Amino acid sequence: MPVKNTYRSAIIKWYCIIFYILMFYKWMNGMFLYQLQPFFFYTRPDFITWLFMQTGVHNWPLNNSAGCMLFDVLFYSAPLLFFILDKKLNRFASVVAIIMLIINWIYVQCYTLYPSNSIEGHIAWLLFPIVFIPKKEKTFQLLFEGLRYFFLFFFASAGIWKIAQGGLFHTDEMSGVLLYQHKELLTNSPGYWQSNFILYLIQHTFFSYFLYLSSALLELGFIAGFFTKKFDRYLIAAFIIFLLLDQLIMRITYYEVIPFILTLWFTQAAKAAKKFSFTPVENL
Amino acid sequence: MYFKQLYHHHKGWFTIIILFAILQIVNNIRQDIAFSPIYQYGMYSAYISPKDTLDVFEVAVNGKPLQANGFSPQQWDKITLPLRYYANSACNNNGLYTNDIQRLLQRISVTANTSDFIFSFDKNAFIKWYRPYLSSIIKEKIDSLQINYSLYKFDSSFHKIQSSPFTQICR
Repeated sequence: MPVKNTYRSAIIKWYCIIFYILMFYKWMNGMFLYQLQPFFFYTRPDFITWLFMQTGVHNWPLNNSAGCMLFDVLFYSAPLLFFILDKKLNRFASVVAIIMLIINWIYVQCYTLYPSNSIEGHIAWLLFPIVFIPKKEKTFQLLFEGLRYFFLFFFASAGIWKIAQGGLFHTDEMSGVLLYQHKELLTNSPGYWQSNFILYLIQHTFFSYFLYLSSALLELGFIAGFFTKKFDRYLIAAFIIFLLLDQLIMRITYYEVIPFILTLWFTQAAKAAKKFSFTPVENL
Repeated sequence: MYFKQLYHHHKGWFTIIILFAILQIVNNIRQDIAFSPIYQYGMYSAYISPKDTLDVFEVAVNGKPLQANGFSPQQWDKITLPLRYYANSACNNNGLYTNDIQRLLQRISVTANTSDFIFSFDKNAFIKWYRPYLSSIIKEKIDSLQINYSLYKFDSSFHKIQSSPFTQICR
């Protein structure tokens, strides 16, 4: 029996693994919609979001525990359902991927309109289901490669913005950022090790600017990925370092973009898949 | 090379991907409002000069001020974001609606429903919701709750220079 779509299946499997680890992490931190108990929304400057808001769907989970739970159930069960159907009833895989895309869109739109997190940080959930729509291995591989380019753009543009908007040309930039980001921690938790550490960075602009410059260089390093896949493993390492330092120094948890790591991790697998014309790929 | 391959393989997907890429770049260059899923990933790219005056929210439960160091970043965000959103909503939401939302939706012949864009509530309704909400985060019964919006002066340390109930912001 021929083994089909091994490359695609492996990526779907890892997507689900990451999704459910993050689900557990969010539940532990009270970040499910039913745990947020949204009471009001805050309109953001986004034209497509305005069209979405025109439907009034975002009003429904407000003060509605059952509605929030239903949203959570749909959002968190969709990848598992897709994973199972993709394996057992493959002819429905595309339809289920489209349903997952719609669920993700509605959930993320609503979730980020409430006091929770930025929509930019949820971009992985908005884009990944699109890649799962085609069942043909070759189409999947090309869309997945497109996602890799998007991820490279995601980081590289952050570095370019730091040049374009001038942050990189001010040596006291990071001191200003840290003061702004941690003003509550600094004023209500004096003496705490993280407060002391941040205060030290604020007062020593050389060190704080060094961190800012390093992060900008790290982000700009993703430009290399547009020209070669040779450094993808290094970019993964850079990405992980970025996430960890973001939590340590900025107290920002940006873990929902982790699924993009797959686009770099599976680079070598894609090469292998190409070489063998998308026949079985071992050890994925 | 990538686009050439995609074009030859599937013209429909090629059109979608190329449109997405072009819109993403144009939106970034124009620095326009977002157009989901087209966003700008600035990550603190604009210059933020170190301010000598800082505005902060202060929450005291049963007479004891809450400290950020006792909470994870997500938990602390859950405590403070509603306050910030509430204050911002009171200050800016109407402006965004009247200046941009109505105007831009009208261009595509859509009449905006005000209630879908502006959440109207008074401070009492907010506090009525916030009290049990906060209680579930800090896992403590709340007998008294005080929320202030304070200004601190920063030189080498922080000194409070002004404090007022946060619900008075912009209202």
